[in-house]
Amino acid sequence: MLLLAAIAIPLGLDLYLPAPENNPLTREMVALGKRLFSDKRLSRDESISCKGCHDPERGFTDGRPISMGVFGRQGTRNVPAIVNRGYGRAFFWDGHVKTLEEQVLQPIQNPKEMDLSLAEASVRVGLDVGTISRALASYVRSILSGDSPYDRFVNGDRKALTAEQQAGLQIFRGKGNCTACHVGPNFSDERLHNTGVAWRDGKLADEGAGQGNFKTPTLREVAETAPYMHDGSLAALEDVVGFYDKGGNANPGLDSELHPLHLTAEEKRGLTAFLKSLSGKIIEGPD
Amino acid sequence: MKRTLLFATVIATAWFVSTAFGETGNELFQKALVRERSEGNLKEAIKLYQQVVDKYGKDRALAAKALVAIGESQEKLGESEARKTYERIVREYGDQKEAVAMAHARLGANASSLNAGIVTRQVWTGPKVDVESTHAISPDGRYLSFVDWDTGDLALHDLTSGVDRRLTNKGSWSDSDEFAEESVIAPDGKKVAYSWFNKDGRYDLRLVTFGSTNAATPRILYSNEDIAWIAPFDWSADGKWIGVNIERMDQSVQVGLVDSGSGALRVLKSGEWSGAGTLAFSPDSRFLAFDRPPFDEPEQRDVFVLAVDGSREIPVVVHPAMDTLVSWSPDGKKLLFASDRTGSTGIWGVAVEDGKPQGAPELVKANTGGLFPLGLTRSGALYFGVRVGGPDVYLTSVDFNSGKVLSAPTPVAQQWVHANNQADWSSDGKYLAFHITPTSPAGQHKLIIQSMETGTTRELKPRLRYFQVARWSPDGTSFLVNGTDFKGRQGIYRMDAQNADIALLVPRKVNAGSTFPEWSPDGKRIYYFKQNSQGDEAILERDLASGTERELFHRKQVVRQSLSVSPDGRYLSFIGSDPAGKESALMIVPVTGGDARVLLTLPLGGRFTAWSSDGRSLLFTKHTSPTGDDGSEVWTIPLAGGQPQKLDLGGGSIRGLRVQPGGNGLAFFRPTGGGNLEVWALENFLPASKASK
Repeated sequence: MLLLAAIAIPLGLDLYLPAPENNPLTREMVALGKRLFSDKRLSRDESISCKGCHDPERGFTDGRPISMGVFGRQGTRNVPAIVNRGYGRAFFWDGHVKTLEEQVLQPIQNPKEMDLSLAEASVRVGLDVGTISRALASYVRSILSGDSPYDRFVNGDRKALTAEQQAGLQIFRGKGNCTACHVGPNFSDERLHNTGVAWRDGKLADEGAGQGNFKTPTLREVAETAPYMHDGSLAALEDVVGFYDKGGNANPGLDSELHPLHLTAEEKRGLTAFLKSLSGKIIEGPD
Repeated sequence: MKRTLLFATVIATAWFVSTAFGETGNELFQKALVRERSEGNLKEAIKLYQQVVDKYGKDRALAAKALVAIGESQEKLGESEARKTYERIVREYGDQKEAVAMAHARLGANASSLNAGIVTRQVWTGPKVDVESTHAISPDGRYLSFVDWDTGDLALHDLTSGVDRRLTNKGSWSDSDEFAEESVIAPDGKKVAYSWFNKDGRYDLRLVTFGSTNAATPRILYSNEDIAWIAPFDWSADGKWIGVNIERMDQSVQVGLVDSGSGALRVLKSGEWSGAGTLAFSPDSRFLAFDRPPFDEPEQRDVFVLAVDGSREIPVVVHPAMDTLVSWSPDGKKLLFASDRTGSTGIWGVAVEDGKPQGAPELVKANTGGLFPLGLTRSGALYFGVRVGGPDVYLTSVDFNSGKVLSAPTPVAQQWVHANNQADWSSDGKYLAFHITPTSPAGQHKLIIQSMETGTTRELKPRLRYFQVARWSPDGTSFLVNGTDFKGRQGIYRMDAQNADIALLVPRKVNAGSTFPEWSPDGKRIYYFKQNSQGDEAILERDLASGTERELFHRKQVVRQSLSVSPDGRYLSFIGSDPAGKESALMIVPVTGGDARVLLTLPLGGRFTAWSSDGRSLLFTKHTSPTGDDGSEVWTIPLAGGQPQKLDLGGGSIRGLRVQPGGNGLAFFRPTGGGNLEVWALENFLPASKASK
């Protein structure tokens, strides 16, 4: 059965949850995907599953600056939160993948993550690769975060945010220019920007999508997903606010939307408090 | 290709060709073009084009061009003669490749539109016509809702009797700044859903029920402080849902459904900054169709269908052209859309089954021009609005001391006819920059810089969704514009005069109204209007280096368009309410602060001011009726004292006065032909239309 008939989209998210025609969201596929998401057989040494890095208790991240793969191999980037990815248009920090169905297969094959060929994965779990892909994508598509204090506030409950958070919302939308990239229900324009995080010692430590550009991450559940940025280099939300207050990290490709904000200490506190209002109710799976 | 560009190309080509074949032929062709394009008098235009063919038939290129124009006009009139005209071009003008290609295109692609039986008829004209904010004809084809801009009330036009009546009663503009905007009549023909700009400076969604002679008290159906704008575009056939477009306070946009009973909002789909245009329910109410730009492509729009249960979205029309939704056919088997894919805008149809496109689109009606769709009636007649005529910038020379007009006003632009307005001079007086208004609802605004010595032009297309009133910096490197960027950020932008790069100088709140900025002569400060904390209209000065703002003047009412800086930079002129707040007055205020000086009271009001180049006199427009709609006059008044003199610039409305620095040139624009809007009905254009909505 189509899952949308049974699922209640959380307050603040679109009713239309995109899914490809060949992979409609069904209860059966989401349930299968949820099982596969926790299945350690999908890693070479059967030590980790998708869930190992995308921990539901941590906003579907792992709390580490850089992810850890099989045999203790160090990854290259921070684990992105995977809430509301069903609304996404670009995947991974560099946005090089355009569908969830393609995205979910890549960590399985990545030598620094699960390091397993798709053929072997197929044999191990007894499913063809297409089914693995569609099932995992369906489950990820079902991971939704909404009904946060922010959502209640913008839908008419004017007491849902504290005065400090409301002041922070004004900074977010105004002086902070945050909505230039973190826009809409999912707080992401799904586009690439150079904020200068990757600029170290006069050169790019990570090209990202090219020239130091990385995709705007969602801010849903952001208080639960520290550390931050593609390299996990900023430990706390206060650090992130401080980074943008300085106008990012100056470099030849710096995005034109970034400039010093000159926020007061009170404004920074308000902005941080507002970001914490984006944690809400996470639903996932077929139930 | 955008229609505006194409239109300009057509005009330019016509001008070039006709010039090459002799002045008389050219003049006649131009005369016909004006009849067709600016006056909308197609029958008269056909006669004149025919004279071109008859008298100047030896000039085969010109004659072929005139025949193409005849065919196009005949098509617009729904005349089957169009086919014969195109066939004649193919038969007799084989050496005129461009004309033959156009005729072939019409004959080949437009087979259905060239059939006899299609009727296009004009159903509403006049100053009250408002097609930009109404989105659906009543199902019986009798009513159109509209905004009566005399007061801002929602009103209803009876197409049968021609009678207008107001459905709301907010009082005059001096009583209230609130107003109605987008509206759509319910399927039962007894209710209108409409957006209302309320006293809090944002929009809510309202509903009013009307009878044959009266209207009930409106009720607020949906209101939310986080929503800057909400606009209804269509009702579901059962009257349960209203399809709405929304702009949030973070400038993101949404398509949603509002329950017409409970007022509950269901957001179907969000976008970042570029919103949907027209929304239309399928007759079975399962789908909502709309157009929107694809990712990062503001000059392209495609048509999509979204299931109202949120289960899927289907791209129905994807093409590099500008494709905008018109309506569903009454039987729900076709989606109609406007497209400029052949070079000129026409109405196309694509078969749709279960929300999915079936086959390639087909041309239904060619050469409609930019149109404002108003929906289909039960009988299958398509109603749509068109704009006839539009503004043009004129140039004249004036002895500002005597008030004598030295040369008759002449149009400045060779291209962009009836789409150019709001000129400004370069500081050396050698160039004019003027704004180009898009001729279709989804078109892009641009700025043209024209050399007054050579007539050459260049074009600036800033990444702004909208802008108006470009003011050239004293050093010539940039412009100040009121604008909104593609991320919905409103304010005063600085636009680079070479590459059109933009930078936001002064942000303004959503729905706060335009600021009409002006430069100081040294380019270090700017002046603009803004509402102050007391709710008064204030004139502010901003130091560009420090960003500090200073209030110079405030008054309860000020005409925002009227701000002008004296050549020596010491004074600002404007039209505001007199100190007693009773009458409009022409005023000046020193930029150093101090009291404003009333030069003249204007009982009927006025709108624009400009300083003579020597700073010794002031020009201003004076209304000749209380609303200013019936026309305006330009007067000059000496600052040292003396009687005002009227400039003999002819009748009609005159706007946007700009004096040539160091010279006696005066640029202004006329909203030619009133920039009239008309409503037309297209009948018998769909095969076997069935009533189902």
